[in-house]
Amino acid sequence: MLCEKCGKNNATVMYTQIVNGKKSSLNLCSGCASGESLFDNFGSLLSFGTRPEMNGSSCPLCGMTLSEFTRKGRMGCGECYNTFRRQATAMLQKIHGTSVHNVKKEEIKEEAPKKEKTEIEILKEKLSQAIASENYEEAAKIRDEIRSKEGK
Amino acid sequence: MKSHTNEIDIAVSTRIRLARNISGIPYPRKMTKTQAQELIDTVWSAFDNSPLKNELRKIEIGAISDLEKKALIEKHLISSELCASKVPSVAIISNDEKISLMVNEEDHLRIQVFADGLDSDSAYDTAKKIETLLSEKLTFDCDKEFGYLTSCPTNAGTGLRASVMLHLPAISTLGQVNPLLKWAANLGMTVRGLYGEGSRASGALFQLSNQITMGTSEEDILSRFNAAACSLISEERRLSAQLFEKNEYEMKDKCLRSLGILKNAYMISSSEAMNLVSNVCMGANAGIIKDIDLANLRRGMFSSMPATLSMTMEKASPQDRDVKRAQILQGALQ
Repeated sequence: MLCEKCGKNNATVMYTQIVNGKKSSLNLCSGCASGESLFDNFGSLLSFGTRPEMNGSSCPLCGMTLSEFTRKGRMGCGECYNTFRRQATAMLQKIHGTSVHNVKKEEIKEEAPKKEKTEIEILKEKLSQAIASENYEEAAKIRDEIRSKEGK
Repeated sequence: MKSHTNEIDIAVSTRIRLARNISGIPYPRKMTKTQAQELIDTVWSAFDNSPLKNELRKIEIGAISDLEKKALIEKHLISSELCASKVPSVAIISNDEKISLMVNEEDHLRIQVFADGLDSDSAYDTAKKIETLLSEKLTFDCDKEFGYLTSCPTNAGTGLRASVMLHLPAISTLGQVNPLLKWAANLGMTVRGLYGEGSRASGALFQLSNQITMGTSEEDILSRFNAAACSLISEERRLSAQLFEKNEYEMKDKCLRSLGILKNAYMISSSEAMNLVSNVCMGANAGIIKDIDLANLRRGMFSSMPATLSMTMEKASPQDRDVKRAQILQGALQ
């Protein structure tokens, strides 16, 4: 069997890694096996099992290659997140437990209830504010307004 | 136990950091010198119409001495990464040193705001104001799915890192640091030494910060961070009370002996100063040492760190610094 890292020499060493009960192994030649540690950085989470020919794609904006990204664990620019979307998603999930930030959802959440408020609800809010600030004269006016609107 | 504003008996200072990048330009490690300089100019000009501009100074990292860099790093105003940047980089720092904006560090922008004690809210407000001001001139890179994009995926989503420097002498004396690390990890937080990753916790000073920056709102991150900081502070107070109750004589002796040295020594090294100040603060919090202004004493300690102190002296040898440090600390105790 050929080495799965360089694809040139015969594989003589088998690396085994168990992550979350999932076992995966890599067959390497003695040269590649004695090189840098395979499992000690972020990149290893992604490059593991990736054959050299799969590392060919590169970012159109900054030129970052997949192998460079997996080695350093750092993006070269914002476009890298698009270019290596699948790998980025896996990495973000590993770090944050999720890869979906969804900024928009937060914004919608804040705005939606405001639009749905009816005139009466707004008046009721004003009423409780007036009562809280012991402004009873104002409160009575608002109460009457609510009554007349509800009576409609 | 006395209650303190912003828990300053234990919480020394809070830092809020927002990481932001500009769309369409490679990150500092991949950008050209021209792009880096253009970004610096745009960022600096974004403050032109702001009243803030008069309070800010722009420090070109390539133009200052190694000593100045070290002093800024000691004060946590810049990072060693900013100094190592291969493209032009600057720090925009306010006169009161509560704001430090790093341009072309690992990310294009790192907005940092500091506050005394535990006070993430006011620091966050200021950071957001600066972010809004800059967003008028710059378009931040924000992905529909991933949120704000950053060079290191550990910061993506909100780009928000809140941290507080905590003085935890009882926890470290009782050997509770390892359980503390596990506890923090379970809450999505991390605890480090005084100067960040891998640094030792001198003077029983630790930094608590949020680890997770994605999938949750900035407000949520801050409220979780505050809750974690508060429970850590009350745990320190509880253990401290226990320590003083069980080993009353030894603890009293330790605190008062440290005060004696601080008050009378002719020379004090910086690591000795950190330990002595730590013991005196612990004694003050336990009510054994009275009439001490904790904030003032800590300020004295930070202003007498080696590089920061050297900046104020001409041709000072380490011994000269130790003499000066002893004088500063004695001044802070009066």
